[in-house]
Amino acid sequence: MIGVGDITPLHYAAYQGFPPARITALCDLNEERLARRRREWGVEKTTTDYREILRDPEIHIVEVNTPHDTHARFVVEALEAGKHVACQKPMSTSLEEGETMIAAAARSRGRLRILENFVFYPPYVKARELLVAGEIGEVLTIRFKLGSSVFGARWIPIRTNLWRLPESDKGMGWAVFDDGYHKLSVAIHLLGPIESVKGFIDRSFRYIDEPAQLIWRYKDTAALGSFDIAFSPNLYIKSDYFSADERIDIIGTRGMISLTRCTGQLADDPPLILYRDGRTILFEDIEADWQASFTAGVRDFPLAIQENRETLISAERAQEITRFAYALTLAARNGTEVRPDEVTDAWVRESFPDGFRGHARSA
Amino acid sequence: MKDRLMGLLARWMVKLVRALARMPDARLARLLSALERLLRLLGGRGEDLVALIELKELAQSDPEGMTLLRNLVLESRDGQILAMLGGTLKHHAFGKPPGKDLGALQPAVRGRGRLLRLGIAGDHYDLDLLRRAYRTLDRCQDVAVPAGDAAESESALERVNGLEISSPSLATREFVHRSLSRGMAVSLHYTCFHGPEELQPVLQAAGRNGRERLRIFHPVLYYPPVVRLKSLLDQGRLGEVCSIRIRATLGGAGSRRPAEVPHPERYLDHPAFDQFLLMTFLGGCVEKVTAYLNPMNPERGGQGLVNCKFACPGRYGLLECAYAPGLYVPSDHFPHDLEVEVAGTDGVAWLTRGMGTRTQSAPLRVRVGRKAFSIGVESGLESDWSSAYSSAAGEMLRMVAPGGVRPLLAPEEGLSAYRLRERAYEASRRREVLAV
Repeated sequence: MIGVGDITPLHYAAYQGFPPARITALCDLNEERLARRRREWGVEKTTTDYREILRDPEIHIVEVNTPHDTHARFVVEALEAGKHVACQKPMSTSLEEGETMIAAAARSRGRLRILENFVFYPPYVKARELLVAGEIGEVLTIRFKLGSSVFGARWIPIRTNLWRLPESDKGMGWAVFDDGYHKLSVAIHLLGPIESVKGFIDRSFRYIDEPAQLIWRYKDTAALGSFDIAFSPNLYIKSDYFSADERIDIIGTRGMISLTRCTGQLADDPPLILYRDGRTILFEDIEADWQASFTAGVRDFPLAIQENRETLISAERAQEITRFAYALTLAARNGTEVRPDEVTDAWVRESFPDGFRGHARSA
Repeated sequence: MKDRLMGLLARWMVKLVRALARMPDARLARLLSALERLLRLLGGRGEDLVALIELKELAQSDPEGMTLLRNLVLESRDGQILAMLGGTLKHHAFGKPPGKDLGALQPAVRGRGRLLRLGIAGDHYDLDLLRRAYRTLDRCQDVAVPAGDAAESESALERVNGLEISSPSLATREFVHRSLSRGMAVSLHYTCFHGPEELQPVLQAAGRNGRERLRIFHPVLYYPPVVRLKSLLDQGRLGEVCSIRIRATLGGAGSRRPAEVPHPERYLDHPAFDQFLLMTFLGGCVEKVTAYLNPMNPERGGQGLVNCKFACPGRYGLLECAYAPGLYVPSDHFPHDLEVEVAGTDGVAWLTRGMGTRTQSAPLRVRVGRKAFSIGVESGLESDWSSAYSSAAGEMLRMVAPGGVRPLLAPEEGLSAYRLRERAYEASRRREVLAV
């Protein structure tokens, strides 16, 4: 692993009791954190120089779990070293970086995947099965809800999030671009590519892109989607991870699907509810711990390599999600309808000039 | 007096927070150190002070990080700082808050004032339900007002002091003006008008005094769970409201009475989807609107999304319309499924039903701070759709009583809702965000 920050214990847990792959080396610039992980995880090889990892022939897969604006560099170099690479979402901080990563993967004998774990979350996997089976007929609307809070989960060190704040000035807000990446990924995974988007994004406490209300039209289906982001800092949302109320409501011509949680659990509802033909079916015995999404997602890459098959999320799909996220931000910024296909890095820089005037990230 | 003091205290709290944010790092670090020592003396444990300790360490060693945190505070709205501070103190700082009595619901009908001699003009499903509700009032006699015959209509007016109109042919400026001039209360069903240009002249003709006895009637505004939800919002129970989502789904089966199939293009006029009065009732004036409106097909269904930015800072709304011909929605009226979700800085509330009874959960579910509660029949909240008409009938009775109350909704708000609906159509056609 390159980067052993706050999210990586979830990765570590996924590798436990998993014979196809094991963690053999860790790399981070923060020596104190590196030493802690070495003790906690029992990994002998640790280094502050990522090149040692890339030079090691015994390492087959490199996970890149570093701040967003370093993804491209580490991914490209790791691919050029012939490694398979799993990169945490979001893929990159620009479309150009994304293209560079895709090109590097095409040249490399290694494979590239972007780890976005929501698509592996068991209730979401089940919902997709129900949709594909036509349980609710043709999808009419899909709605994503994120209600973020400060209370209910473990304390997340301020430093963990400080480096994200200035990204908001570049159109990469936490709610829409960073955490929102998960929701947008699921939106495309369930119903396909996006034709156009529009909506509103506000700011709370200067950097936080909440509340927001965003809508879109799909390319290959008549369905319409929406993303409702509520700023609820004082709402207690019980969670072992992040205090977030995450919901998905899907209305079809014959029925409805409600997904009532993901990282946090606001109410005691079953994680998945199907309504059809006048009956309500509660999926109460489905695994709903968020860790399960990491376990399935992290493990799928080594298995896919061994079995020579595809895995989620491909680099091309990840680039599509980046376009979608930028399109939403541009639409809200400029008060217009935007097609993701038309988004360019230049347009983003033009729309967020202050963010690109040499604003240094916290080290 | 109490409100003034609270307002003063709030202003000073914001000033204090901003002053702390402007303090030089070294001084702030010393202050936080002293505060940490004091809290430990008072029995505070390490895990309770982790945020304070981290902030102190940042002030001591990370000037760039502190700049970001300063910006966070100094470039925020006063309302946001207050909502954050107030909510933290109320819900989290001192353990579980004491329960708050939500107060007894006002009965829908009060028998007081003089007898209501009611004229009912028109022919509409809602009017049938209203007629039934009025008939349960022992202080009401109803009188039919023929819509077609002008002379008979005038004659009927002499015998009534309250008038319910659902017929567009009678919702004219002249007829309404004559009715109001006789001192009666007039209720206009919201479907009487196709747009603001039709309501505007009626309001002008009503004049200032007349408007106090004029109401725009939409049953959803009198539905007790909606009234209770509005009350929660007005009391500030959810903090600063930031998101209002109304989902209106019209099914194809589930009631004895089939729903009218929506018009392929102008379906926002359909009673199932015309929730703009509800949107403005809950959220206030809308400043901007945008929309995706797909055409609706009688066999395949269809969908539309209307996205709003309210005039109130930091507040947004979404109206989601879906026509699902294969969807079964049990209902004693029409197969219409209504769900409303309102989120604020302190909590979230869900209205789970309207005309249809797809779900058996309590009509109002609320999460505020650390508390979770449902409001239903055991709290005395009537949730049968017909109770909306009882409430509306009771209001009419109070409007004609001596002293007369004003209606729940000022007629000008009806104008706002019609304008919003028309702008939504235009925003979808032009594929733009439009000012309302």
